[in-house]
Amino acid sequence: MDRETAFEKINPIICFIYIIGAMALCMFTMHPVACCAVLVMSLLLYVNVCGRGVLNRLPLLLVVYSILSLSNPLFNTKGETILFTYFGGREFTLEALCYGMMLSAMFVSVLMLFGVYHRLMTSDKLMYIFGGLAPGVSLVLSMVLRLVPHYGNQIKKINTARYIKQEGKYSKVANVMSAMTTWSLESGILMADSMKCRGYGCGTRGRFSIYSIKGKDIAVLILAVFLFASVLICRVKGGLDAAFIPRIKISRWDNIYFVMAIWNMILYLAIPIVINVTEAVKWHILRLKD
Amino acid sequence: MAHFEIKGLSFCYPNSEKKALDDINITIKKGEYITICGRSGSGKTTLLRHLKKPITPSGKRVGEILFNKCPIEEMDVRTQASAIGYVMQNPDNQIVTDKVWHELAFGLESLGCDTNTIRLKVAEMASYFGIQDWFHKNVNELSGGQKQLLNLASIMAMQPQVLICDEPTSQLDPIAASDFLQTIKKINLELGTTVIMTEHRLEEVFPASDRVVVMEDGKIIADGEPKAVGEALKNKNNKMFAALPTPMQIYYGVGSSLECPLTVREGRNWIDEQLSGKEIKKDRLSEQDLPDLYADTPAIFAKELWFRYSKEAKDVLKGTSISVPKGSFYAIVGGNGTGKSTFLKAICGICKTYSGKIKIDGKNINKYKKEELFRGHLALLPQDPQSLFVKKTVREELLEMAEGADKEETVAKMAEKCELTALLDSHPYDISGGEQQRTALAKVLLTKPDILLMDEPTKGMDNFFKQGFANILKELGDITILMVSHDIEFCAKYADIVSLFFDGGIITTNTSRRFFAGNSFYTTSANRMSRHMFANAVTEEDVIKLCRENL
Repeated sequence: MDRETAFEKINPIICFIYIIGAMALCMFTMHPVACCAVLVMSLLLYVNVCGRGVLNRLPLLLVVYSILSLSNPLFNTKGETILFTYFGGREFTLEALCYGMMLSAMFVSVLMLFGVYHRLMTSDKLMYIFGGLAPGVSLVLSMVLRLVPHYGNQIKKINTARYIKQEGKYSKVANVMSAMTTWSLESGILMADSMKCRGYGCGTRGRFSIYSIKGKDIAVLILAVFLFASVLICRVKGGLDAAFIPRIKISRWDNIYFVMAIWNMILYLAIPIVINVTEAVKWHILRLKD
Repeated sequence: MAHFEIKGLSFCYPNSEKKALDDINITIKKGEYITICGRSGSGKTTLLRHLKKPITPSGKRVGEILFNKCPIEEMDVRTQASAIGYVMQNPDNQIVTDKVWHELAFGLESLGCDTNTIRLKVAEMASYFGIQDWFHKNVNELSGGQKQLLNLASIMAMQPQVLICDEPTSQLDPIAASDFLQTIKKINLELGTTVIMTEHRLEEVFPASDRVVVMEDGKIIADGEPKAVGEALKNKNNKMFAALPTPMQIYYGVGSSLECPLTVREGRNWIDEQLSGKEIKKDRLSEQDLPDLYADTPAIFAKELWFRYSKEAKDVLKGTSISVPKGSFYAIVGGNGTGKSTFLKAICGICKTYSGKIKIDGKNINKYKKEELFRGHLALLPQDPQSLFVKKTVREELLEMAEGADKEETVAKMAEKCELTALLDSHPYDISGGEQQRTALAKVLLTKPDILLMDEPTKGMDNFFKQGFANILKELGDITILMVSHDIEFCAKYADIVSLFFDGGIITTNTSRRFFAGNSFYTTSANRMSRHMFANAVTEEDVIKLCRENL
């Protein structure tokens, strides 16, 4: 997907805070309803942000999920309801299985959120966030990102040029390395000249980025903080309590904190989807008007 | 009002007695567009580097340089960084960061400007230079021309009073070079920035300049308006004369009392006036027919080659066919990115085609062993000569390729042939671009090929080097040469057969004379200047000859 989605245009700092918040939410609770909600919402978010192509990875995630869920009872035999015994009396309990399922739901959700993170936080965005803390380091990072393809390109050129020379594999590598060393030193000197010509090192470096914080960014931040805080409060008030061992004991629908927590979790994870879908709909309407 | 004043400047590099600069005296006025020309090694770059403190070479120096009446050594770092902009030759090595927008801001960040100032300047520069469309791109996705334009823009963002360019277009193709030079002219006219430039492509720079300075062996041998400099060079019978724009060379070659033309337009008017009232007795030179390319066994025969770089990518070669007769000098011309270089690589098997047939000397390329093919049959001279260099001296470079019992002697002979004898102990990176190209050629020739493939061999060479290079090629005897080039003038002068490459295929093929005489845009300046009078004059010599016969 080359097109920028609406949520990608959110300021990187806020985007970063949001994703970290989402991962934290996933790990807040083992409550089955909450885990299911988080799993479904993460999947929707994953598909919405990264495009339909990621659906290809679903089988793999399913395998990971199954292995993790089923393996927990093998290590943990505590629990009241015994499903079956094996290896001459070792117990496989329902409680441990449920616990494993919740744990792996959590794990898979976080995995998908990392996919989202990877798509949204590109190198230049990360540099924008952390460049403020260490401008020197961020410049070096930027130079590295420039030089890696630059060097790769030159290695390719040298390899092509040496096509006419017959030589062993090892001597070829040695020759290419030697040529690269000379070439990189030479081009390094020229780059240093170019930096000096443009006043590098003549005082404190200023910092420039193409990102700015707009009204929409602030709105997203406030909403995210509000939802996150409310889930946190509900959690503290016991709305998301869940215990599996020795007996499954979870909070119920009649608990107001539970209902609020679930809704707010869903809303939190839905923020990017809402932004992306709203924009798509707006475009559709605008086009209809024409 | 003087911008730069250089008084009695002489300079020697360390461990060298030879004066790289010898008693230079120039005053450069504010807003002037001044071109410094001279052969490779005449001290142009050394002089330019003296105007920018951080990159001034170290060595023995006499004389003084004043910038705005202040000695250049006493300027503070910040002022010199922003007031004097310096664009170098190689577009790639000057780029520091990974994103276009970051590169534009680099200089301003160095000066410690605040975000809002930088934002405004960057926006201004991106708009002025038309960079908006690729503002967010990674720098490695850009073409050479875009890279050099980015270098220029990132320097202009610091609002320099003087712009110094050291052969900025030598690594660019003609279209990108012409765009770049027009941008420089625009900056000079619209912003009043003083421009000091060295160039070997004088065709365009000469008419654009207010003043031309010619250097030779570290001395200034001519200084004045373009026309006056042309006359001075003619009177001194200087070798630099061969680098002048075509209309000037034709004018002096014919000998005329009218005013000297600088551009093709002026050249056309001049021919009209010169020959007005005269009957045109002879309007064409004798020409040969295109030989049957498929007669005998062609040295290279390729039929309907198809190639793309990856499964998803677009086709680069779209059913390209070619037949290169033995012993001919075959040139392929065409725009950038049309797939010319890829075609060369496909012919020697570096790029594997997914459909089509290639025969070398009548034998299918797949039936050759790799050692067999690249020993004594086929050789490819790459575009960038530096990519061939792996050793510490030119001698070792050549020895690496030599074979047989008497390596030393083979190398000595080859060095003699390629005029490298004096350079054998130099490091291949320390010699000039033209000399590097000759070293690369010598290296490739040591594999004793029957067929030589060359990718843009004249890139970055000045006119004298080109002549020397052509002479070496001529003396190779009955070797078959297939060359891909942007250099129309070079192809017109030396190639036997020329093809136009476009959109992944060869569009037309003819003898060099008929090819260029038949085109109206893609042809030499000499042809564009004379096509309304003469049917098939392609080079300067042709036009001069026909003019003389009709006078």
